[in-house]
Amino acid sequence: MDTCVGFLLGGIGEMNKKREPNFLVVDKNTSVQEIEECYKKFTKRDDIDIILINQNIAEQIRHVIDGDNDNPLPAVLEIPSKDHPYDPSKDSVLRRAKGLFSADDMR
Amino acid sequence: MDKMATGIQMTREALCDGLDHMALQHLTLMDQLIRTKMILEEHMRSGFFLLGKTRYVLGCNAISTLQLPSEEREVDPLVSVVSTPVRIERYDGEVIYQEMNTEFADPVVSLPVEVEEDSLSDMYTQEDDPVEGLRQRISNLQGEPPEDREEDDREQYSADQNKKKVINRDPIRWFSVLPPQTLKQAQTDFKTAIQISAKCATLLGQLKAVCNEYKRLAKIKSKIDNIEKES
Repeated sequence: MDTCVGFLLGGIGEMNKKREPNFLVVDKNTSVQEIEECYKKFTKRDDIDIILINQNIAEQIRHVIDGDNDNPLPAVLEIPSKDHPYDPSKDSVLRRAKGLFSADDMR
Repeated sequence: MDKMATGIQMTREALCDGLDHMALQHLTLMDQLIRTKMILEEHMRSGFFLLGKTRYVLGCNAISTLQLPSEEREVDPLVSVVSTPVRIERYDGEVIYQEMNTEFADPVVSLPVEVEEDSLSDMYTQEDDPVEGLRQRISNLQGEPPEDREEDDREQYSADQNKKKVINRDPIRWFSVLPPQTLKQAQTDFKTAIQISAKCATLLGQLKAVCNEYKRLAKIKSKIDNIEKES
């Protein structure tokens, strides 16, 4: 919640003419399906270049984030939250990048 | 056969050099990305702390999702992301990523006020068509001659047209009309966090591009290895 409040305070919040917000506040009552649907909606919008998602929430929809590798935009950034510090070992992009090298490549 | 073997050898060496270069680029970018995210975390942590301090001053419910815009009102973002494609031409193949920068708009906007023209335009049209209807007497309590009074009215009309309505779209206004210093500092921290996020997004794009190029070169190398084994 504080992540949303903070970044909206910075000025990135939008409610467009179709009454579609460009943010989603996730609390204990928000279902995984809602998060998934919102994430998919944001990736389809052509006016969004960067998606900021708390890492602990990204863990809940990891299967959706990992399956969406092909498009360079929007860039999906996993950011820490107030209660969950950033863990590079859980980051989707860094995990994929670590698995790039194999023993055969070094021959 | 020897020439072909030499040709394959040179191509293989060039490929290996390219792969080494990509691998080093890859590791450097991973390191940069992690460091930048750590800096982002620091700014966010500072922002969270200041939001907490603001809650202590203004009350728990003063800084919450209740103040965020609902579906009833239209809100324009004050930050826009400008992405430009960058091509790294040093390597064979295309290594392209999107360089992202943020632009912050001025929250204070002035809009022109629509002037009520009815009363003023009536006076002017009556002067143009004196035949129609009765002529409206204009009281002259100040004793000014009629011509000067018309000029004053014209000036008033143009001044009214130039009047502008100033709107402050700063999101800090959602939380407090007189925001405390801690809230302003929190806003500065999160604005910096937004700029760092754009930098992270650029590094992410670069990393993906380098990964794709590495995979492409590795595929070519494995094909050449297979040709060598067969020969």
